[in-house]
Amino acid sequence: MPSDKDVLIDVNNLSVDFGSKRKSFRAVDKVSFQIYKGETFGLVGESGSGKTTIGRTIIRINPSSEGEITFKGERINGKISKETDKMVTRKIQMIFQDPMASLNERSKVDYIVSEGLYSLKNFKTEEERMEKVSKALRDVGLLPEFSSRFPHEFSGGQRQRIGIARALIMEPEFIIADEPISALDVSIRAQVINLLAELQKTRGLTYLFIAHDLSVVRFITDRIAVIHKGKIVELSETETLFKKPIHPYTKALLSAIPSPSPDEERNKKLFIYTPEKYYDPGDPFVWSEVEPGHYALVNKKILNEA
Amino acid sequence: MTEYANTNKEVVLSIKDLVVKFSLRGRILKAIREISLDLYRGESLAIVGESGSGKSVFTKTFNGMLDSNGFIEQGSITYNGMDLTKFKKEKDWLQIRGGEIAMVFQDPMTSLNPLKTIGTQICEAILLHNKDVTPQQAKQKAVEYIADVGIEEPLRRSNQFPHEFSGGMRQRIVIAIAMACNPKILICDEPTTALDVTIQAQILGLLKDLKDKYNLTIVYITHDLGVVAAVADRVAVMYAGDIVEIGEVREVFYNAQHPYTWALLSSLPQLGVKGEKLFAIRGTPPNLFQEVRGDAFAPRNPNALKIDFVERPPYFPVPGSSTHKARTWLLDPRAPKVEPPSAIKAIGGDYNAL
Repeated sequence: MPSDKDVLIDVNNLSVDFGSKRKSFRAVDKVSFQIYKGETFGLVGESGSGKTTIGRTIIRINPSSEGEITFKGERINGKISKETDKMVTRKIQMIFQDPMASLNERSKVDYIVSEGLYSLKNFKTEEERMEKVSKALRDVGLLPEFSSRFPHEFSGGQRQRIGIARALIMEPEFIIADEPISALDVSIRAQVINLLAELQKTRGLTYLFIAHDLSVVRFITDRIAVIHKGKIVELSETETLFKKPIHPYTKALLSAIPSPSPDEERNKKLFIYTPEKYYDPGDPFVWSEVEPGHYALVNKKILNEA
Repeated sequence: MTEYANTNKEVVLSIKDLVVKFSLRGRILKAIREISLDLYRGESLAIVGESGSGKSVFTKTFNGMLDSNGFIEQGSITYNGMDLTKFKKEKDWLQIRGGEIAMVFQDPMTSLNPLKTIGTQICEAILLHNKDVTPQQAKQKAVEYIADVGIEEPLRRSNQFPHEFSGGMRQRIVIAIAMACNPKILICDEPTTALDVTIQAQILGLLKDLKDKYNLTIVYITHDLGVVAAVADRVAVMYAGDIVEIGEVREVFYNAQHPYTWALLSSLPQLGVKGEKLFAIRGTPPNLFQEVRGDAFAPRNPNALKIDFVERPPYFPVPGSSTHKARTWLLDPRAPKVEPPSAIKAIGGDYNAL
């Protein structure tokens, strides 16, 4: 955790709707959080909770319907100038989940990695571009010679490294990693986690780490936001969240983490979250700071139980 | 304390010296390298390994689902007195597949027919395997199976289509279809990999209940050690087409012997220390187009012995256990003492409290 808390990304009251007006669906519902420079911020929730949508809205793939996102104090959602748009493309990059699907099968690694450079004309000479490509490849632990190969010649872990190289070449400050290791094998997972951690150290990167696997998230994030049905239900520093979860949904998620110990696993009690149990018209849910830095969407009933 | 050991050891499926090869563009790949394994009635066995280790190929030989370029070169698979490796025709397999050995696949999104209601799909399985059931009765049974896998309002739900169900619900339906065949052995190929953690725990619980209710034998194929810890009675660790270590679940987790098992366990993020590097296995699995010499894991094992590169280790029984064995020279009485990595001690659990 960096001591000086510079806010890099500020998401304020963000909502995202899909579909036309009459049949619209609110995927993200008035979400607010801040990401500090140099930290790894985790976004956790089940499929369909809207965690990926938030990531995609920050990087301007999905339009927002309400609220504000700022990057270093500059607004980056809604209508923005061309220059700001270019700045977003360069400074914010994304790593996708499935390295088998996210790389163009028909182009060589050389093109895949430098596509961002091409689209922003971010190089002067061909030599400079090639130099950048081989540096990016070396940074992620691949050989520069690999640039003349096609994606199918690589294993899943190597492909994910290519995906990371493609993000790094833009020299971003902020990387959105959307389930970057869910599609990988156990043994390769560790390599990619280590690589991400090392790059953060050497380049001072900030990550938004989107995942559903809490054991991985605990290992690499500084702070976590738990999202359920488009709403953030709890936000705090990682260890606090694991030790003192407040919201029943967080508790349910934590209780489902698989443990590598057969004895523990067999005696474990699953906690199942039933929203109806906590709903009370006279006792609305309020976003409140339960202790310093630990926020949750709670009502009196939840607080009494916690 | 939960009961781990399987007291009545009746062998239902016995595999001896199995070798499976694939011919790929004129080259021969040896995917399964001399595996022998006995499966006991009522147990749940987990086969663990990274992708490409041959765990799926191995189980596909049990119900004749090998791809057309794959063939069994040697060995036998005995089930009910029949040698399944002798089966040539699809007709032979129909008496085994589903009714005796059924399979649940990884992705519930693609293993259901989107054009038929789930009730119809379950009925299909029932009618195929019970000649004396009328369609009316089958329909009723289908509803019972839907209720069995924990779906509420089974009658109404049976008239719905797969797209009206969530991923976890669909996996329940796939399991219901497999159960409707009334199998003796259920093979689950990564049954929860495509699902969320919360749903995963529920599906594993469901499979456990079904196992007890119908005295099923379940084979789990997975690379997730958390799943293994939750459901398996016995664990077989596969590497490069071979079982390198097999034992009861507590033996393998708390008293692992093979360096590959050590490596797998230590790379778990649950055991990592924040801010430090996570243990990662170096290198890549061996090329199975070539004959593997010695211990297949040796090139990736920093502490490999000289003999690991020369001669393939036999199975050594782990001292003090009749169920636990590993293919590693480290268990040879002449081998130097190598301590397992410290990280896996963090798994906890007291092995001696068996």
